[in-house]
Amino acid sequence: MSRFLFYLILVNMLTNMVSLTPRILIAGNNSGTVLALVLALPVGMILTYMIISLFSRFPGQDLPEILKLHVPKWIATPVLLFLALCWYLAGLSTLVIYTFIIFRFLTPEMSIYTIVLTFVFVVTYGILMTTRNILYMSEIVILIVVPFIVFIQIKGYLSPSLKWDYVRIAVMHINHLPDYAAFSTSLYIVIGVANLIIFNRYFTKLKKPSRKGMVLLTVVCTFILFTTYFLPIGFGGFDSLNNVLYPWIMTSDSIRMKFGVIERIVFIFIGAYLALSVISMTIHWHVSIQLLSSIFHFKRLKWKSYNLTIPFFIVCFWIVAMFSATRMTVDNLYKSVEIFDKYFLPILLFLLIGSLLLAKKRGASNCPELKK
Amino acid sequence: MFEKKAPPLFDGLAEQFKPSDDMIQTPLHMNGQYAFLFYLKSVVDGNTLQQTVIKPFFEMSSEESFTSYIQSLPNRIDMPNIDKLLILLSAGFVLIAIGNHIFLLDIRLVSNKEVQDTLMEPTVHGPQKGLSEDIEVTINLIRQRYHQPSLKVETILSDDESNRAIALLYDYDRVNPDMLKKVKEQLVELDTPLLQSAGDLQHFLNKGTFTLFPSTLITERPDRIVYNLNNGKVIIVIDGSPDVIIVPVIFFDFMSSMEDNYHVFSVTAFTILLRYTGLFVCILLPSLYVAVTSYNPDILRLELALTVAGGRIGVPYPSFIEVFFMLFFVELLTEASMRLPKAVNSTATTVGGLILGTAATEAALTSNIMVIVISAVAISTFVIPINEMSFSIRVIRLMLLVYSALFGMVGLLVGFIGLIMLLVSKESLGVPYLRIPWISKNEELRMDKR
Amino acid sequence: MSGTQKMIKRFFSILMLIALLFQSGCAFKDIDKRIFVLGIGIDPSETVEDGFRVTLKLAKPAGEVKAEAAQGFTHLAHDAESIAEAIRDMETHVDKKLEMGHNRSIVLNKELLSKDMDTFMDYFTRRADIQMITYVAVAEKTAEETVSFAPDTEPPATIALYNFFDNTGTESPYVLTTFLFEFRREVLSKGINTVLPIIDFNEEQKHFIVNKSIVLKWGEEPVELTQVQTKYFNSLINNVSNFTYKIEEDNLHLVLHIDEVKMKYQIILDEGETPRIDMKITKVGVISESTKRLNNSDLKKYDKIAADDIKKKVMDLLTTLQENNVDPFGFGLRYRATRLSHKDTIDEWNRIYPEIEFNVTMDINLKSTGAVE
Repeated sequence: MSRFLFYLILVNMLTNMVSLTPRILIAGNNSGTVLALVLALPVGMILTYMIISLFSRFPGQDLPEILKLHVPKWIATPVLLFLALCWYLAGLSTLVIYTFIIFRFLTPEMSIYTIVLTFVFVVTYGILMTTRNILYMSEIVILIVVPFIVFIQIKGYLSPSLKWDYVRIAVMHINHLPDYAAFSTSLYIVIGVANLIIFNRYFTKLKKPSRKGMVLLTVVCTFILFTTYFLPIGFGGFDSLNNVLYPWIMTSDSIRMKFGVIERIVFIFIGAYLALSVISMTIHWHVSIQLLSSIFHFKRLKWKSYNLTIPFFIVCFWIVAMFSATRMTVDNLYKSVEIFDKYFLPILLFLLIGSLLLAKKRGASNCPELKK
Repeated sequence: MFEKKAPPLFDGLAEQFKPSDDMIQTPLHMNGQYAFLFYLKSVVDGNTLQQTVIKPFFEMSSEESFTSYIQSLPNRIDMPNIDKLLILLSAGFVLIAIGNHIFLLDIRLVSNKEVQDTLMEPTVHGPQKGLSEDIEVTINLIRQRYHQPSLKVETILSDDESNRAIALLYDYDRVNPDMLKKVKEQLVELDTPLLQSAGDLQHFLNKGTFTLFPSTLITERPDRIVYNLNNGKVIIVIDGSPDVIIVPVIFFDFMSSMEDNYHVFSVTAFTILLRYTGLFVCILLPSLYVAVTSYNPDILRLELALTVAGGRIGVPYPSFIEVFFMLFFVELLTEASMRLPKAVNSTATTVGGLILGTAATEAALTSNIMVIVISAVAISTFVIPINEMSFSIRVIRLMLLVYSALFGMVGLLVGFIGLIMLLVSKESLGVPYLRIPWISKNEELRMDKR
Repeated sequence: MSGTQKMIKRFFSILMLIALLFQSGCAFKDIDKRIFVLGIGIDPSETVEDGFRVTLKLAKPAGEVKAEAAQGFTHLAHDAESIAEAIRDMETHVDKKLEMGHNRSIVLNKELLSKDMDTFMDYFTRRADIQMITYVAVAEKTAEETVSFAPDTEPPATIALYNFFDNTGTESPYVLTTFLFEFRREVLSKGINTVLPIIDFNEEQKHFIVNKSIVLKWGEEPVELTQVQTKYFNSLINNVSNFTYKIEEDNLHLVLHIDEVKMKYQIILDEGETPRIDMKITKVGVISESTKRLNNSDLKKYDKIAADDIKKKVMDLLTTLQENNVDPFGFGLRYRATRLSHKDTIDEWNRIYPEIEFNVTMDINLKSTGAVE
């Protein structure tokens, strides 16, 4: 498996550790989160395997290209439109949640407007980069950031303040039926491979996932998923975490570096995840904008000889983002992310896999020797 | 016997070169044998001319034997067209006409042939001599270090007024042909009135007006050249410049010193680590100071926060003006000590560095922590082995400083990511600029642009 | 593509830069315009009914830390109905911004412990800039006095109270550390009670005394542990080393120095038997003082003597806790952690705990008689 595929999955997984995901998981701690986690893992892995092997039939083509070739337009357009919306919302929720986190923990005096503006400049540039360069960039950022994250997690696991009894209490709730919200949320964490719908352009030699790759992926996913849920419980208690808005921030604030340059790990933590969130946002919105521009191309929207379709979409993106960041409350956001995970995600996966299967079938019957 | 006339070509040439005093058109005459010489005195080596042309002429028995003698000389080249001929003559070639034959001999007088010491990239180990200002000597030096038949040398004459010889050196077996084509195209397309040195040429090869980072590398070290040749890169040598240009380059080329290859593993690993730490320090530290003192003092340990707060007592300006102020002076100092003659150099550094720093703290214009920060930054800038990169870093640092003065800690982090984005989307002749160069893993992604 | 993209990029950059200029700098506040809060003390108010008296310990930054002779701290105190109000009022009493990010100690008055803790502790967990690794402690006298007390051993720019608790300065089994996140987690969890250290100070000799602790019970009178109980509790729960122990047997006085403590326990509920907790404690150490000449071959004998004695002390601690119906060890948590969850788990435990039996196995392992026999 290509290392870049790993990065796509990893970025998605890590960014969600800090966002609302742990909160949704912990909300279900008295009901069925544990079983939901256990279920989401194999389901996520199977879906990942399916998506990769489906895309490996169309080397070097992104989803719009595949659909254009094999599927009638009246199916392709709504599917792509829905996917573009989903990817936009995914990026938007990351932006809003990190804006809130920064506002709460890093610079409480700064206006939300300014914080969003900080991102605007860099993320816009990122969206306009070529797909290949986004992959290179995520590699570099991951190489810089992941050591810190691993360090913090190891530090957390080795901390004497981590009380395993709380974790065990959480595990003991395995006898409840799985919670659907928790299931879909944890599925969302591990399904980062769906970004292939655009990024497949660059994987000309994408093979079916090897056994080694899948095992490695499963191990990493399991570790991160379980850490996301259990480590905050070990630090924050089982009964007392329900009303905590950002369990992971609280957890990282509870880990202390006695002799470190910085004593409070929380700043390293927020910094590392902030970097990842920028990458995640860039990836999501890049996918979204590419999907949109594959559907719409406004010929009239021109300035001198330049077509302004993509800038138009970007401006729309930011206007909506600015609006939602300033108007939304944490509760709104929580509810909408829950809705996204619960309803949009399964539809998204269904549409994605369905359209790929359709394309594969049609592609096989129409012209078997289409692509070399 | 009638007096033989010089061929009409000579007269035409003489017209072109008038009224230069150093133009010589002279016949050789003995026993009815004639030969005509045409050259510019100031660029031709008179001694060699005497030894290899004039003396044999008087010793030869016939015009035929002299003709075949001249024909077999190693420095004879074929006659080019008239335009090129003029350029060659002004570079020190000698035109000889014997009977109906006209020959062109390379008897140039080059007075800048000596091999120079490595000044810009000194190392403890490795070669201490660099290249020469003469293109032949330079190519000779490179050839002598890289004995491969696949090493090709292609000469291009530049189109500008100076008509310098530009040579492309590459290992034919290793070079990427597409890239080579691109380099050639760029060199041919080059339109500049006057080309002086490798630095000049590099400037024209770096496309675009607003570039932050160099996309070619200038070096004077033969070992770096050979190392890069071996890695399939193209070396551009320009006559009259002791530096050569290496294309294409990636970011990490600027961060590697040739000495990395000469030490044992642990030492190399340590120095590389040191260098990258230096890089991060000099990019991030000033911005970090601003972000931490003015936005998030709770990041620091308490004792440090109190010391910083104490140090800033009485400082009239906000932290970012303080940093800009000090950075400005350090940049001035660096710039001054670079331009000053060596004798005055150390005085300037002492006055600037020591006295200014202490006095500024005493006068409560800056905090003493600030002085430490700035000196650390100044030192770590010099850790970057290639100068162009450290110049670029100095500029980048300021941009990041502005961003974090505006947005604090978030600005610093997001700005840093933005910097990575800038680097990643840059290209040097089709090769991505910032890419982790894992060995033998380049085939995974489609390399074309889209 | 490059031409179009370049144009777009430039257009955007100019747009953004203009937007930036209008927005910048509103949160910019230099470090010398902030004043660091180093400690917060909370007492019941005498002037405001149901209110609190909040004391802040503030650091006065000094230009030359090394040249400074005296302490650079000052205090602010204010009465108000709630903590937030008090602090908000105090913001008008200083010319600089109160910076809570460096606060590392919260000292509570003893009287407050039996009240509803939500009313005053909520503020600290709700405010994002207060560290979760703040130390929470109880004042023997009043919190105001404790917070504003400056011991003789406190040089400028260091805070004595921090050194007590952060395990980089003194390390003693008498000093218990409770972080704010531990406090929160244990107060809100079922099956465990929080323990807080008690800070006392000696007015004449100008030093702190931290050697006792107190077990909180939600809405009830807290249970105070004696010095010895604190030592035993702390050494068991936090595996604190540097534990000294004195044994008197016949006319032999031994002082043991324990380096390593391990404690494991298991809750055993067998049909027909009274529920019991099997606790196994292993201590490894050396002899550090003796009135007699000792023989290295007799170490096993001293092991036995010490084990019997220490076991009694541990039993005393456990039964005291049980009699007061508090559970700082978190036996209840362990009970919940070893059973599949159902609704009544915690009620079951509350029934079991008062009558549970303790079965302590003590294993002392003396390595040597010290440097001499």
